[in-house]
Amino acid sequence: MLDTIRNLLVEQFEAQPTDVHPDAELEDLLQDSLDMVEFGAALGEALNVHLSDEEMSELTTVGDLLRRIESKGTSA
Amino acid sequence: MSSRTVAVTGLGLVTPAGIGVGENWQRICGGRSAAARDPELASLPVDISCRVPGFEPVARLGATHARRLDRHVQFALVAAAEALVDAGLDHETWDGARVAVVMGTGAGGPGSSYTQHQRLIDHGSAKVSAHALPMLLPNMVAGQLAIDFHATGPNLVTCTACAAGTTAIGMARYLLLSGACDVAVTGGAEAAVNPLFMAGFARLGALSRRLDEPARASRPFDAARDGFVAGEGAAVLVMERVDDAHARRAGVHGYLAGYGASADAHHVTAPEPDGRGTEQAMRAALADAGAEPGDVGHVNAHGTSTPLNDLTEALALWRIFGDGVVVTSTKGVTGHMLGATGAVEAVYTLLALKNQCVPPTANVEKLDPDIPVEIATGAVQLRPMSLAINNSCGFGGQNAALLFSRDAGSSPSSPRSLSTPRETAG
Repeated sequence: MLDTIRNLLVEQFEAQPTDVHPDAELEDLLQDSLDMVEFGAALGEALNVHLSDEEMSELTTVGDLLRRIESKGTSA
Repeated sequence: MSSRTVAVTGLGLVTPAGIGVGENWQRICGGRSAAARDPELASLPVDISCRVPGFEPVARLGATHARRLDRHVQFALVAAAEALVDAGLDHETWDGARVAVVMGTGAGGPGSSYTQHQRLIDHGSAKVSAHALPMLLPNMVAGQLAIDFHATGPNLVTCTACAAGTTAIGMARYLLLSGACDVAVTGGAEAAVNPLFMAGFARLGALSRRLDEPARASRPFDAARDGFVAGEGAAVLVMERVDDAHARRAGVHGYLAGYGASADAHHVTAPEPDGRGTEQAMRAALADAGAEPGDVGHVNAHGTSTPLNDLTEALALWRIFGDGVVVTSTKGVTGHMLGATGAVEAVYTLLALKNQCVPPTANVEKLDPDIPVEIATGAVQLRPMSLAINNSCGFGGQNAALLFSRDAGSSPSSPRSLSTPRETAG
């Protein structure tokens, strides 16, 4: 699943691959709150899981995001 | 004249005639149309357009800008980067507070609006992009240029339909002359070739139906013209007060000496039948510069290739200039770039002045016998001249004209002799 997140962040949001790890903060990887919303929508589509804008705004790190997705029973 | 004249020190173009000023000028002088069948318009009554060739947003601007910005803003960023390099200005070190951005657009981001609306209908509001609003709002082109180039001075977008780019350049001059800024980054941008806009233009009867011969469809002033071909693109000009430009020894392409604007107050889409509105704007530009019609050697006309525009505009030109100017419409090559078109044609006008030649109007096979003025056709025509006009007319009856000068402070009457020799267009 981390690979899916990393690929998305690199290909669409111009993140550096080595910057994407569980301790990385999402706000450092994304340009602004608009991209946080866009990233949540794109990731939800890629993993077939619903990530609301509110949920995304509550997450701090990539690890938080991984745990949130796992809690929804997805294992892409 | 010089106190109201500003210098143009940088040029940038992204148009159907190419990406970059050099590529554009070569294509314009060659008179080869950029129109072609457009797969995005398939199933519409009109499916031809003039697209910017080979524009790759990711390669030019990166994945983030490619994803977040409307196409017209992407065009503007590329054109602005070229213009600033050309002007020799570095936005990393300039005093951004003294830099204004004034851009024109007819529609902002209607392509993004169309796409996002479709997502709303098909998938619901959660699928609408968080960037939808910044992409579709028409003021964003100037806002984004300010962000990318750290220009924190006055920042605005003019919206006068197909005169928008011309209006923007006129407004930018006012800002320079008022002292509100020291550098103006100005021009126009448009990317409105999408099914909704094309369907609307088709319903108006404004588009050429020469679908089987797209390269011959945009034919301004030709007897068989039947409408315009929609195009897209952007132009950016860097302008400064003359003393400032000369003090830093900037290369100068030419000078903007006068600006005029008017409203037809007649009809939402049809021009005033005698061209009185556009005549008023051009006369105002002349008066603004203290110039006489006889001083002008060339006009880059609005010349859309619609039956109404070309005739009414030619009548206006005849009343002002008689047979004293050589008129061209570069839309034969580029199509009609709507809100960007005036700014693009301002650049072509400057290049004509600088090179002392008039590019041909593409596709004129049989000149409309009702067109009284001299139209440049065939090959590039050498033309000694000191002043030239770029003329634009917008839906809503909004007209704008720019008077460019080859020199900074030449007296308006002295160069008149230069414009008297006439060569017949080939």
